This record gives sequence, C-alpha cells and structure tokens, in this order.
Amino acid sequence: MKQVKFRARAPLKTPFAIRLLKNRPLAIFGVAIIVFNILQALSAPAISPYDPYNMQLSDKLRAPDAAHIFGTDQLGRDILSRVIWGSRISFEIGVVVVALSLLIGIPLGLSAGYAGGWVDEALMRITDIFLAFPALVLAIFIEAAIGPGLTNAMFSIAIVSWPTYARLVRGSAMSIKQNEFIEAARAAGEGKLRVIFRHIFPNLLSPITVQSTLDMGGAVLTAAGLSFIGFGVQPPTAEWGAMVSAGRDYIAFAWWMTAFPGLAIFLFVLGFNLLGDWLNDYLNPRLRGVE
Amino acid sequence: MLRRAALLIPVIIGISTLTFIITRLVPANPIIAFLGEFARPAQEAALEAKWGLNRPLYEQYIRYMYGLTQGDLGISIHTQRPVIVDLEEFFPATVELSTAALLISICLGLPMGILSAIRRNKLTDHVARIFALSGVSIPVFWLGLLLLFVVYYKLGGPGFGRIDPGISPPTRITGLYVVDSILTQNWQALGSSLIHLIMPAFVLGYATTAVISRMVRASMLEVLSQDYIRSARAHGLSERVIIYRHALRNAMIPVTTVIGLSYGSLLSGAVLTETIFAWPGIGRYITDAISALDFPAVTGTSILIAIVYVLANLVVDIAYAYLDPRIRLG
Repeated sequence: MKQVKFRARAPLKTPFAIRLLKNRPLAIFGVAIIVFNILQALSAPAISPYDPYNMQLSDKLRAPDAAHIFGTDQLGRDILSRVIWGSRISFEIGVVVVALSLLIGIPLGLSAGYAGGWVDEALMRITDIFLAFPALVLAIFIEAAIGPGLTNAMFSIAIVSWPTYARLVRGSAMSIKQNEFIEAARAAGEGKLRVIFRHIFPNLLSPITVQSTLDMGGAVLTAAGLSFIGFGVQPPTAEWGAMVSAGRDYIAFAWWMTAFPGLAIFLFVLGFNLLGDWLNDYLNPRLRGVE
Repeated sequence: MLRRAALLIPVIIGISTLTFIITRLVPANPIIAFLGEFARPAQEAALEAKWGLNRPLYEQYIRYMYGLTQGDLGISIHTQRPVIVDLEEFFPATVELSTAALLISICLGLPMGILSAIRRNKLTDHVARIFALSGVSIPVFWLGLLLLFVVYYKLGGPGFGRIDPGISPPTRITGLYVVDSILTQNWQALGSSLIHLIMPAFVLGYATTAVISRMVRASMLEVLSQDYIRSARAHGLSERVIIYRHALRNAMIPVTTVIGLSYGSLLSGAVLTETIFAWPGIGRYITDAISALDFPAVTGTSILIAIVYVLANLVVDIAYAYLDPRIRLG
C-alpha cells in the first residue's frame, strides 16, 4: 500500500498567539496592558521606588517631580509605589471574584439548563431577584451588612456577579442539549454527569471565557467604587479605589493623588475589556466570518 | 401583557424578602449605631421595643411585608422621618439626573454606533470603539472628580448641587427642577439647573453611551449582512435609503432593550455620581443610610430602585413586541 504523504502546511512564520492578534491593534493594546500589569504586580517589591506604606510627613502632598514621579499623598507616601503595589490587590480582587462567581454560577446554571422543569424555574426566579438589583447597590448593601474590608468586598461582589454566569450557562446548556450529539451520547448509555461534563461543559467554555475576561475588569471597577464610598478596602491598604477616595478631599490642590490611581484602574479595566471584546469576536463563529 | 405584569409580583416579593433577610441576619447592630457604644441598657431596650426589633423574626417579617402593601416603609433612623417621605423628596433629583444621562447617551451613542458600523474598520470606527470601550472601563467617580477639578476648580464653572446656591429652586410641582422651572416660567432657575445638570449627567451617562454605541454597531453590522439588504442594493437603492430606511429600523430592536435596561444601571451609577457632585438624590440618601446602619431607609431605597429596574424591563418587553411583530407576548 502506497503511503499517502500529507503535505505539511506552510511553515509558521509567526507564533500562533501573535498570528491570532494580527491586524487587531486594539486587542494587542489590551494584551499589552494586561502583560504590563502582570509584570508590575509580580515585580512590585523590586521596581517600586519606595515602601508604599512609608509615611514621610515632611514630604506630604508633593507635586510630581524627579524624586516622586507621581507625587506624594497627604501622608507623604509615594504614589507611584502605591500604584505599583495596588496592581497586586486588583488582580487578587479580579481573580477571586471571578472564581467565586464561576463556582456558584456554573453548577447552578448547568443544573437549571440540563434538568429543566421546576429546578430551572426555581433557580431562574432566584437569579431574577438578584438581577433585579442594580449591582453596585446590592454590593454596597451586603458590604454594609457584613462590614468593610477586602475579603468582604470580594465576597459581596461575587454574590452580585454569579447570577450572570448562571444565566449564561443555563441558556447555552439548554441550546446545546438540543443537539443530536447529546442525544447520541445518551443513546449510547452515558450517564447524566458524563453527558454534562464531557459533552455540554466543553461547549460552554467560550462564552464563559469571554464573560470572565470582561468581569475581571468589572470586578475591579466595582471594588474600586465600593472603596471610593468607603465600604470596600480600608486604608492604609494601597488599593486604587481607596487612593482615589483619599485624593477626593485634596482634589482642589493635589490632583495627582486622584489622577494616577484612577488612571491605573481605567487602564487595568480597559485591558481586560479590549481582550474580552476581541475574544468575543474571535470565539463567536457567527461573527468571525463577517468582514 | 397582564400576565407579564403579574409576573412582577413574585419578583417584588422576592426583592423585599431578600432585603429583609440581609438587614436582619447581619452582625451589625443598628441600635448601637444610633445610640453609640456607651448607651445604657434601658435606652437600648426602649429603642428595641420602639422599632419592634425585640419581636420574633417571623413577626417582624409579617409586619414589614404588611407595611409594604400599605406603602409604609418604616421610619428612617437617621432622618427620623417616614422613609416614603424621604424618598418622595430625593427621588425626583435622581430621576432628573438619570433621565438627562439617558438622553445624552442616546444622542451620542446612536450616531456613533451607526458611523462605526458604516465605516467599519476605518479610522472613524477605531476612534468610536476606543471611546466606547473607555466608557465601560472608566471609573465613574474618577471621571467625575477630574471634570470637577477642571471645570469647577480651574475654569470656575458649575460644580456641586442641582442649582446655583444664590438662586432659589423653582416651586416644587414634579420635583424635577428643569420641568418645574419651565412650568413656573422661572427662566433663571431653568438656566442654572440645566448648567448644573450637564456635567453630572454626562459623567453618569458615559458608560451608557458606550453600551448603546456598541450595541448599535453590532446590531447594524448584523443587519447589513442580511440577504434583504443585498437585495435592496441590487435594486439600486441609494446607500442612504438602505441604511436609514431598511437597516436602522431593524437594528433598533435590540438597541431598545439596551436603552431600557440602561435606566436601571443609571440609577445604580447614580450612587457614585451623586456622592461626587453633592446631588441630593436617592443615591446619596442610600449611602448615608448605609453608613448609619439605617435599615428601614436602606431597605426602602433598595426596593424602590429594584422596582424601577423591573418596571423598566417590563417596558422593554412591551416595546419589543411593538417593534417586532414576530414576538408575541404570551
């Protein structure tokens, strides 16, 4: 028998990941911001010029200059160092909130979508109630009840975010369930759990990835909002929202206290939104072909 | 339609129950918050009895739900007035702000989204998309503070509140300063309240502008790729007619949804915007109430916001059926 030789594809000139991003300046910009933030968070102890908590009252409210590129705050702390260290907290918030929301939302959404009937009905009415509250109001409410702090802030934001995932997963699971390959798997005698995890769940990964990416930014934005009105992360923690909040009292004559931490939040969130936007186009086959 | 409206009842009951649960099952003690750490036990007990906090939980719940059906939201702890009276006073300010924000975002978002779609992947599109993505990424409070810094502190423009402190507000009819000034023909008050409204409304509406323009863009692109648009082109219709007569009309269906749903998130965003601009609405009222552990006020405001949100959803559903005859309300 003659061996069929498959001709290799044209050799890859550029790595896969970069090829994906080609002609996508906005996505590249987003990835660059995220990479920058990751590097900044990882190397914070090495690159921050001062100790973010070190107060130097003689140096308070100094405008940006060569010694303090972003200036100093009302206690004489270096704002650049605090912004750099703040990226660690932002990643912590984003990752923990998204992970918690996924942990609650995916199982609930899967059971509602797969089981249907009264399970679905009951779970969806519960998400209705949660979604009836504007997110920030409910988060403030929970936060006020359980008390301020980083952990509580992450917990309240997760409580507010999981219904989105439950809805998303339920909707997709319901439509995937109608496919013939699911029927085939059932006919082949596969158990419920196996069908759910082997056949339904993998098909849910794209919408979940897109939503999680967008929520990384969203969680940080909400957390910053909570800190801003005094319910989230408490001083002296170098969290960006709390820093903007502290700068508010000095806005008339020390704009840098507000401007730089706020810019850091903006760029962090923008990075994840740019990436999420592109992922959405890329992972959504209906949009991919449209040019 | 009646059935849709009836579905609201369980949601509203659920919302009220959830707020009740959160307020009652928390470690925070409103009595200590009200009296301070060093109150005498007798004072505490008297207050507990007055607020009904010494009754069993189920009884508190029944009294609370019964009160709601009577429009009784309880007495606010920090203002010492019925919550419903407070809300009547502060809600119009929030409505005025959110409505102005919504109008601004429709006026900006709609043309931006259309332009973006027609000039897809051109410079206009990129600029519009960056503007839109910035809108959903920017912290509202930061944008507000920066604008305050520039407009109020540097340029001497309007800053805090709903109207110039030197100008007395218009006679209250609806509570909306702009509407009341027009009704009472008080042009000085109209000018001042409009000027004070623009900046907070823009800050609050920026995120919504972004959401609307993205939705318009996506929806237009989808419609423009449909067969009937190709047919229209083949018929030799002008691009103008195709876009405004045929594409935009169909593209508006999902956009309506987004606009309706935005109203709820505007109310939510108002919490931060009102704090920054000292805007005396329910957003500021609820933050003050939360700091004071004023449960009746927090519960009442949350329920009000949630109900407005749910009603906005209902209006969207109805508008949907009207715009798209294929959808029939069950």
